[in-house]
This record gives sequence, structure tokens and C-alpha cells, in this order.
Amino acid sequence: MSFIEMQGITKIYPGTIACNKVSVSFDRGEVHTLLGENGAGKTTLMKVLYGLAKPDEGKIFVNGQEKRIDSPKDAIEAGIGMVHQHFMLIPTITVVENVILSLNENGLFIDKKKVAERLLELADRYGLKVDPYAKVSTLTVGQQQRVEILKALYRNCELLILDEPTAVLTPQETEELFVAVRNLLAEDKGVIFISHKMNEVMEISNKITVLHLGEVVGSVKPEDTDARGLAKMMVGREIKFEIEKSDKPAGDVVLDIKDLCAKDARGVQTVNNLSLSVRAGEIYGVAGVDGNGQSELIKSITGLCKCTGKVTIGDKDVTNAHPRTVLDCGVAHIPEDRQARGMIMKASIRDNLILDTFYNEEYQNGPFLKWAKLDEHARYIVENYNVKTPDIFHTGDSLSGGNQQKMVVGRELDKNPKLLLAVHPVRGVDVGATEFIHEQIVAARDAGCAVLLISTELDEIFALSDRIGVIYEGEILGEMDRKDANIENIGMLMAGNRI
Amino acid sequence: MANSVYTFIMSMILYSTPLLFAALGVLIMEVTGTVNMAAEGIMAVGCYVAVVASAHFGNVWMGALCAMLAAAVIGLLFGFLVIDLQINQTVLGIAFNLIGAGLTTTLNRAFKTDAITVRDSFAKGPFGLPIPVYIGFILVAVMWVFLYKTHTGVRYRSVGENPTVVESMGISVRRLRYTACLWGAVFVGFGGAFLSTGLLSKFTENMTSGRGFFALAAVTFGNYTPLGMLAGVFVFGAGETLSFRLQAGGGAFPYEAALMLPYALVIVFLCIFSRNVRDPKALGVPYKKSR
Amino acid sequence: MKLKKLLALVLSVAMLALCLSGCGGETKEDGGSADSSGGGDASEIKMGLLLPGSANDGGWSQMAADAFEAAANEYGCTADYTESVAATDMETIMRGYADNGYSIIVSHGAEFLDASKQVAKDYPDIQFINTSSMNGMDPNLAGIDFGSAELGYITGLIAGMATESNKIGLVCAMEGDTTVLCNECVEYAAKKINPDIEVTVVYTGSFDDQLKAKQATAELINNGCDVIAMNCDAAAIGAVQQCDEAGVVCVPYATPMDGQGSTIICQVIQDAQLGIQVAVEKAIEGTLGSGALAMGIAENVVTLDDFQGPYSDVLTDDEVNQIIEIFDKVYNGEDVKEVIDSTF
Repeated sequence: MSFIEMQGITKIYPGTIACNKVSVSFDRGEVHTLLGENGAGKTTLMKVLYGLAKPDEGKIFVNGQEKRIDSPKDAIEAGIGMVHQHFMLIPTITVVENVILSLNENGLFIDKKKVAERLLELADRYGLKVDPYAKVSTLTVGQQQRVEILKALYRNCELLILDEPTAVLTPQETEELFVAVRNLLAEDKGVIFISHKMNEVMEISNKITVLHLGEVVGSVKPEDTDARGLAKMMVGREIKFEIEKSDKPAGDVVLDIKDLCAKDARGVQTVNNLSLSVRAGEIYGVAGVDGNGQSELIKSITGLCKCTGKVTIGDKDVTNAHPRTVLDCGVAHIPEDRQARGMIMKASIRDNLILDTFYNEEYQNGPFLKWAKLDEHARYIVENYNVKTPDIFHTGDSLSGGNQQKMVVGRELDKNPKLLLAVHPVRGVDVGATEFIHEQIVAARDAGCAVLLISTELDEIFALSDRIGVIYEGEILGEMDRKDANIENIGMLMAGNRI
Repeated sequence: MANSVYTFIMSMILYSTPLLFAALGVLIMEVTGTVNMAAEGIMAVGCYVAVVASAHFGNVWMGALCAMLAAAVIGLLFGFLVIDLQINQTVLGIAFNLIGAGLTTTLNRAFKTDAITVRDSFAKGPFGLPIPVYIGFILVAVMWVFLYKTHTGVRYRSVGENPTVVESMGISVRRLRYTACLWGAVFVGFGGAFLSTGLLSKFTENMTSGRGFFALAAVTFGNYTPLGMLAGVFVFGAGETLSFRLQAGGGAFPYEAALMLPYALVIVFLCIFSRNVRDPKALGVPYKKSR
Repeated sequence: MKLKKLLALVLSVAMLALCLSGCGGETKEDGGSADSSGGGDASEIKMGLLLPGSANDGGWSQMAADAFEAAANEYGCTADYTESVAATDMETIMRGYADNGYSIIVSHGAEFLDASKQVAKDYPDIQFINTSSMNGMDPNLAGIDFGSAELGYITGLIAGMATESNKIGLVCAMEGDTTVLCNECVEYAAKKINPDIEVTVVYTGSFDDQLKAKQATAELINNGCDVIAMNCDAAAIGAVQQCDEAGVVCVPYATPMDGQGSTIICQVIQDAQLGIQVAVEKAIEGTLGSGALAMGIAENVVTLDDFQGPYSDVLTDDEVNQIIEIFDKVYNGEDVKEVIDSTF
């Protein structure tokens, strides 16, 4: 008998069936992964299990007994804990206070000491170190995630739902999370894991259930399949992991950076005498662990932060130039945080798509805008870049993460840029969309665009790049052709060892 | 010299007490994410009701009680409009101010309230200050303990930051915000009562003279903490006392400059400290329960 | 959310109604009574009045409206007024009256002065009156002086005789021409009694804020003042109350403070309503010239209350008689300053 059994769960949202008669069961002592594209119904299913959404049909059994779960409170009573993709933490109060809040106890005064002691004990047992008296806003994302897990454990959770936990983590943090997950299994607790990243899924799962368009496609054990097989189940067709590129030789230098230095918002110098150049029709991959100056490198090129040194695009010196000047040089930018820098969440998809074109001559009619033409332009991008939306007037935040990214990529590549700056272009995006975005980037390269690709995922760097540079503490520590690169030499450089 | 410092501090404390109560009320509402632009109007009603009821019962405490009850009714109405009907809080606050001023003025003219003199007064405690002044200080301490040491306090601070999280813990956002509106209005109402019957003994139109808005400034100034708010109230109180002291001392101190002093002080301090001021994230954002 | 929509609708309608009634600058027909007792053709005169607030505000605007109506009734003229005139509408409304045959146009408040000057230039045959100014008048634009100087001199005499510490405190709201003139006269008269007397003025910045007046008074008393005179409308109540609590004698001037405190020894009252009425009546009779119409004690616009109350014995009977004597001389037409100079 399974610990939790969900039977025939159906959830209908206006216009879509998020879950259609989904039956699945979860056991103690195993990591059960839910895999599926964006919008496959994984999150909805978990919301139902955690009492955040009311199913239209279906039953939930806990230890064989039917149980109504109408609110998170019922779920917690049943021993279910959930770590949401967007953390349910109050940043302005301390870790201990957040835990106290989640306990929802009665009584007048809080007992921080008692809670902190138990917290430390749990932290010790599961390897989730965190300072109970720290304000949440001062913690790193990884630490905040630990607080979320601790919150669930504090309430004696037996089955922990982790909704895309690694999407926001660095590789090291992911490793630490996996250690904690294994500790949980050792204590006979169950874990539901939701992720897009195939290698992680293969590494941590005991059982994998694949969902597609709100229905269960099937369940497999990781030893019986591979990434390719999973991807096929997910998308319903073959996914190409290797991308074909034309072998046209690279052209002239488009982006040239010499002795670049820049400081981050805190005033710490994060880019140190960095030099690199990217040629037309070439993808230059910058590999490196997050926080080694990638953000400031991009901001310096795009004119979003002050820098010293020299940045040239084509034959134009754009060091510390106005962002518009940089854009006018034919630069496209897929920013690292799409929701903050790539789009306006509350604006319509149409408005998002015309953000940097509406001021062009062709869309102007005296002081007025040619709205019909702008609409047409927006519809064209939506269609060509497979942005899934009922129409172009929905707000940006109504799109799933993958579709938001496709919208940004579409807007940027549609400009036929001379230089593309792509930063984590597929972060938090499912396999199908990843394939599509990668194809588009390579197509741009084949059309003669110079591409500067920044990613922390080595797989992505290896799959796309023609040349690879490794950034470490703000400088390019080593640079080589794709054919000379392998996990070992790049990994050494990423860890800060010169070869 | 020592004596003049003493009288300065006493004067500052005494005359800023109405502002202190108003600021306490604003604080508790804003911490939970409700913008309290209505404080000025609620205070005016408090002033009015306190005078009428004190004269009727012959007891200022009864007057203050009635003022608090009247304020509580307004607070709950305000709560209903912003929490359940989700009307824009700033606009509604301004509307409530207009209503507060209009209502008290109309009633005053209809019933000749400004002819009433309240004979009773609050008993005096040590240092010769009326008892409510001490209650004000105690309430600041109680507010601190409440916000930082009690379960409900943690919920109050959280709900102003992210109501969705609080609701997901099975705690009613609506109830938290309603109680905050209720208590907030009660404090503001008492501030009005102390102004009209504690420090003065008559109602006159517009006697609150913007104290409700200064309460708002003091709370922002204090970064939404009770002690910071107290500091904000005293900065303003000190500025005001100083402005009269400079003029009363004779000499050629320009009166425009003296009158500007409290406002100038607040602006200067805001410029210095506002870097650290962080509004509650959900301040002024209506909460919609999703299901 | 049907309820929400309904409520929103109701509120918007209410707002709209408020706007229309509040800011419209409504003009009210107010035909004077027919029983004319004045000059033969006075009933054909049409007069217009511009008010900054509502005609029944129980204060500033109502005072002028009442005076205006009283004068109109007296002579049987047609009198219309416009309430709540916004700064942007002042000129338009005045010109409207002027073009429609109104021969007397009164504006109530210093904020109307500039507009009045502008319009008066274009209509030389029409008599304009601004109730709140004394200086810089055009030939057909008259101002009114409500006896600010006399008010100050008499107050100064009383305060000067009452003080023992030789420190007099004045609590006022805002510094304006008339207030400054009045306060200078207070000081002049007090120094005539005793040259060592110091007069200190504290401005509170508000005609409404009782508490500020009270605190200002407390500071003055703290600083050694043993007589406080106050002139800041309703807010003066706070000042009187503080004197009452501290047992310091006070002399309200301008606005009467009957029964507000036990330490009041006497009041010098300024009746602006009467002043406005007199000015309007003179205009109807055609005897109002240009410049400021000076009024005061002789016209009953400035009156002296009785010396009474538990603290009135700070003045000896001789002193009281001396003040009354001076007041009577001024009432009978003598110049107040000359009388004071010759007495002390």
C-alpha cells in the first residue's frame, strides 16, 4: 500500500484541462519524479495534493484511507510538505519567525529559543545548515530553500514536494540539496521531485512519472531508460540533443572587449581585465560558475553599468555608451533574469513584443503609432516562435516560463541582430522549448550573427559553442576551440586552475 | 539651562501625545499592509465625539471611550471597503478625511458643539503630565512586544509583506487586517479625544490641523517600527516646540523660518534616513484570495 | 462582485453630485425686500458678492453674506452672491456681474484683490470693494480698514497697565498687513505706559489649530510674560485656556472669547461684519470714495467689552477709568494716537 495515492484527479481551468483523470501514487523512502513540459499539469497536480486547488474529480488516499484535502492545513496534517517554486517566505523577518508563522500556533508569546533549538537539531540531522536568527532577506537562494525544507520537516512532514527546486540553484547548491534529499530517504521519508533537467532527474530519482497535456504518459525507473527516452515520452516525439550547425568559417570580429573592469552593485570589482572577441557566424560560449562576473560583463557591453577598458561592436567604440546606442549597433539581448529585465510582467504580450521596435520609423505616423502594423508584427513573432497564448493581448505573466522565454527570444532574434548576447537562454525552460530556443540561436549564427552565450550548464555550452572561454573571478582564465574542450579541462578552469 | 531643557522635553512630550496615538494607529494598520490615509478624518471624529460625550457624562474617560467606539465603527467600515470591496486605499483614505472634516463641521454647526466646554480633565501622573501621556508610552512598548514577541505580531508583520504566504498557512488575512483596522482606528480616535478633551476642552472646526498626516509621516520615518515611529513623533514635536520657543524668546527670529522648522526637520531627517526605509511590500495592495 | 460595482456606482454618483454642488460657483438670486427706506432709486441698484467659501459656513464667508444682505434689505437693492469662487473663476465672475448691470461688486478676501484691480480698470463706472485690503487702491476700488490701529492701541493700553513683569505676549496666526499694523500699535501704546515693556509676538501659522495656540501661549508664559493677548480666530480658544490653567491674565482682541476662560480681564472686539455692512451702505448711497474706508471705534466696528472677571482687579479703578475715558474720546471723533500721546 502506498503512502499517498491520488486517483482519477481532474482539474479544469477555464479553457484548459490541467489534469485529466490522473492517477499516481507516492511511497516513503523514494524520490518520485514528475516530468513534463511546461503546462503538462505537474504543478496543478501538486497544488491539488497540497490543498491549494480543489479538484473537479478524484480522490486522495493517505495510508489507504480516503482523505479530503481542502487546504494546506489538511495536507500538513496528512504529513505532506511542499517547497514552492517561488518561496513562501517573508523576507523581512527571521528564519525562526518564518517557522513560527508556518506553525500557526495559538498562545500569546512566541518561543524563539525552543523553535531555534529544534531547527538546529533538524538542520544537523539532514545536513541543511542555516542560521535560525538570520533575516531571510540576507540569505542566498539556496539557504532560503533549506529554510523551506526545514519548515516542512519541522511540521513532521513525511512526503516532501519539491517544485523545480534546482531551477534557481548553482551546481554546488544542487549537490548539497541532493545530499539532503538522500538523508531524507534514509529516514524513510518520501520526496516528490519536479524538474526539467534530465541529468538531475536521472541522478536522483527512484521512479519517474511522465505527464503530457494533463495525462499520465507512463511511469519508468531511471535504470530502464535514458534522457532521450524520457524526452520522447515528455514531448511525444524525438528530441535532438545534438544540434546541426553549418561549418561555414567565422567572419570578421563583431564584438571586441579589451581589458574590461567593472564593479557590481555593492562596489566589488567583479570583472578584472577581461578580454575576448566574438566573430560573425560564431558562438562564443562563456562557461563558469554563477557569480564570477558574468552579470557585470553583460551589463558593461549593453551599457547598463559603468566600466573601464574598451568595448567595440563592429568598428564602433561603445564603451559606456547609452543602452540605446548599443542596441542601435544591431545588438540583441536575452537577459539572465527575463522577468526583471527581459519583459514587463503586467504588460500585454503585444506591448512586450514591440518594446524596442515601436519607435522605428516604419511604425510611426506623425506623433501616432501604427497600431495595426504593430499588432501584426507581434502576431508574426508569436506564430513564428511558438509562443503559446490565446491572443497577443494577454499579460506577460499569464504565460508559462518557457513561453515567456520564447517571447523574449522571438523579439530579440526577429531584429536580425549582428550580435546576440544570450545569458542562460534556457534557464527554467522545458526540453521541448529548450530544443526550439537552441535551434533558433544556431540559426542566427548560421545566418552570420555573432553570439556571446553565457551559461552555467556545461551541456549547453558544449552543444552550441564554436569556441569556449571559461570565466573565473572576472577574467577569462582559458579559451579553446570546441573540439579541444572536454569536461575535464573546462571543469579544471571553472574551479580556478590554469592549465 | 537644565530647567529650560526640562521644560522643553516636557512640552514636547505633552503636546505630541495626540500625534503619538495617531501614529500608533497608523503603524498597526500599515504594518498589515493597509494604507491609513484616513487618520486625519478619524481623528476629527474622535475630537468631536469626545467633547460631546465628555460633556454629557461629565467624565473625560467616558468621552474617550465613546470617541474610540465611534472610531472603531469608522475603522470597520474602512476595513470593509478596502478589504472586502478592495477599493483603492489612498483614494478612500482621502474620501474619509473629507467625510470626517465635513461631518464634524456640519454637526458642529447644527448642534453648536463649539459652545460646549468640557469641565472634567484627565488625572495627572508623576511630573504633572496627564495619565494618557503615560499610556501612550506604555502602548509603544506594548506595540513592540506585540509585534516582535507574539504569534499574532509575527502574523501582522508577515501579512503586510506577503499575504499569500500567510493565507497558505491557514491564517485568515481578512481577519488580521480587520483587527488591525479596528485597533488602528481606536488608537487614532483616542488621539483625537486626548487632543480635544485632554489638552484642550473645546471642539473647533479643523482642530486636528493635519496631525493625521503627520502620523503617517512619522510611521514612514520610523521605518514601520514602534521605536522609530516614536522617534519620528518626537522629531516633529521637538521642531514644533522649538519653533514656538524661538519666537517666544523675542529677538528677530523670522517667524516663517520658525514655523517651517518642524516640517524642515522632518524632511531633513527623512532625507538622511529614508535610504533605510522599506515599505511593507504589500502596502496598499488589496489581497485577492485565489482558488 | 455585483455589490462592489453597485457601490462604486453609488459612490461615483455621490461624488459627482458633491462636485456639482461644491465647486460650481453657484449663483444665488436673493432679491432684496421691497420696503425700501433709503434713497429714491436705490431699489434699482444691483449688487454682486464673491465669496471664497459657503455662505453658511458659520464664519468668514457667512459674515460677509450676512452683512451684504442686511445692507440690501435696508435699501431694497437686488443682491446676488456667488459662493466658493475658485481662483481661476474670479475674473470671469466679476466681469459677468459687471456686464449684467451690477453697479457694486464686493469681493471677500485678500485673494480677490488682484482680480478686482484687473477688472476695476475696465469698468470705471462700477464701484468695486475688496474687504481685506488697505493699500494701493484704484479710484473705483475701495478697501476697508476695520480699525486695526485703534484695536491695537486700546489692547496695548490694557496689557501695558496689567503687566507687572513688563513682558507682554501676543499670540497670532499669520503675519499680514493688518496684523502687523495692529501689533505695532499694541507695542506703541504699551511702551507709552512703561518704556521698559517688551512685547513678544508668536505666530502659530493656523487659525484652526487650538493646540498650537495653547503651546505658543505656554512658551510665552514660560518666558516670563504675565499678560497674553490673542488674535487668531477660533484657535485663540487654546491660548485663553492655557492662560486659565496657568493663572495668567489675558486680553483677547479682534475675536470675542466670551466665557472661554476665567482670566480674561477685558476684550477689545472687532466687528468686521458691521464694517462690511457700513461700507456697502456707503457704496449704495454713493458716498464711498476710493482708497480704504477707515472705520473703527467711532463707527462701533471696534468695541470695548466690560472689565470683569476674577482677575480684573489687576487694573486699578483709576486705570480702568483712564482707558474708558480714552475710548470715549476716540468714539467722539478724536484721533486715538493724539489722545494717547497727550495722556501719557
